[in-house]
Amino acid sequence: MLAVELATLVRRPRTWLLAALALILPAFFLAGMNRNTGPSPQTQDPIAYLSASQHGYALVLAPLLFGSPIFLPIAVAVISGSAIGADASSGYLRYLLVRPVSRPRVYLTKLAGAGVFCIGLIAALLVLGTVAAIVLPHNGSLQTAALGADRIVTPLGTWPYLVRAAAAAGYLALWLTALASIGVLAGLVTRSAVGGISLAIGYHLVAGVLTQVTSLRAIQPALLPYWLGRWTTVGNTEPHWSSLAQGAGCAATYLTLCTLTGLTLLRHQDVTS
Amino acid sequence: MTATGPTGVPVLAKELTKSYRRRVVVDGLSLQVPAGCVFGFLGPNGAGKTTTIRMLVGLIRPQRGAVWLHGAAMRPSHPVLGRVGTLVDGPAFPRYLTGRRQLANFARCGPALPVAVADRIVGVLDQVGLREAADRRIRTYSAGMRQRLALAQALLADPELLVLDEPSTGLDPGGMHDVRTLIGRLRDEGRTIFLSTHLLAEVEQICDRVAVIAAGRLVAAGTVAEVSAGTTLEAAYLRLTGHNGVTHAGR
Repeated sequence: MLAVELATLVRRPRTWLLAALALILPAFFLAGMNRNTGPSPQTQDPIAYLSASQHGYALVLAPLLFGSPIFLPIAVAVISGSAIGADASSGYLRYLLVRPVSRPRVYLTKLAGAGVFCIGLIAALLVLGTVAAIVLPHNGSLQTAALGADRIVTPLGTWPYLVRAAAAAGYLALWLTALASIGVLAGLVTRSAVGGISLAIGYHLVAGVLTQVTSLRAIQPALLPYWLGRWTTVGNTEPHWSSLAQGAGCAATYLTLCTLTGLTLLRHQDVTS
Repeated sequence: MTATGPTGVPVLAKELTKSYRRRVVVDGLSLQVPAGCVFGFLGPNGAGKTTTIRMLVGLIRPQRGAVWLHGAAMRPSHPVLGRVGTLVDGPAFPRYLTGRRQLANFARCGPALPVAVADRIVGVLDQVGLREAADRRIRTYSAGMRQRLALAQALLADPELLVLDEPSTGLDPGGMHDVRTLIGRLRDEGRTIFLSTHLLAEVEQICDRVAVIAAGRLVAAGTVAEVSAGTTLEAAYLRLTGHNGVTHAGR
């Protein structure tokens, strides 16, 4: 059933449009980076700093940096919000549920499809970054490096680099899947794709704004966008692994709660659409 | 509710009751559909036909009462649904797929078919007269073509029981004739068809037994002749459903 869901996702024009959007815009940013002048003194983020300098392999992760604040969440919200929402509003959901296939399985298949989309997007962006690292002009050979205090760049071995890149990609994939779980649940609750997409994007934007309000510091760790940018810590000489673990825990909590809520709702809901 | 009912009865419903926000939609409805017949289910708009059908196939839980399909007490996603083909409340498909692709996806979402999927798809498309349009996207289909595709989808698993909610909707007279012929052929093959329809002529032509629902209650059941009770089916239907007709001023 997951194979059918993925094949349907691939055949949907909207999927390719969103993937193209999520890839093209970071590609423009990459092409516009002027690596000859090096990073500006105001650059805080280690991935951005390393990408703008001559440490080529940081470019592999740079598309994630450009895509993760807005484009990736929007793409994931659209796919996940319409996963069940579109079937519910069109009425096709009732045909899926008169088959001898358990309702939890239908729900989990939809969520898994959205999760695979998240992983596929991240993989595509990593490929884009790898191509950029090789193709864009750079001085000398490509290096793996990390950024320490006072902007001191230290060399990084290949395996430590790969572990960090995998941790960053895995962290983002988990975060996006948590957002997708919100979208799938919202689509089920509203029984419409528009409702599911709107709620997922709305949550991301509103919660993102709340993370900037100083007086709300106490609740900010409970908001998913609070943990979004933590993955870039892999570019530091000393990554903040505890921060990554907390962010992953928050994402896993959202994923678990939203999924359990959706499963419970679908199991007991009358299908009237 | 007992776990099993009489296995020789394709559809058995007892005291089905469903309310929404204190409005009783189906009120203590009981019916039994014999095997190998075309069973017509009639009623005016809002009488509770679609709600009853949704309870029969597990889309809606009744607040009271129970349903048995082929002797199995119904619950959502029950394995017995593998033996039931359904067309509920009109066709609904992802419109960016082709008809053939949609049927293939639907076949793969349930238990494995006893025959090759591709062969079965060709077979049902031939039965409903959609083979030539099978590779066109559903968004290019007319309403009648989408209805035929929904019928094909209901037939895909070679079901013993078909639950069809107004299968002739959107079809031209030729299409309606084809649907009636198909239903008759399916009945002759020993299948059971539970057919909800507004078309009394259709009921008279193909139904062996009929039940009439009005305001959520069963008001008549039996053969067409028994329900008609010496008048036409239309007259009996209007009387049973309490239809007073329209008075024309000046006549």
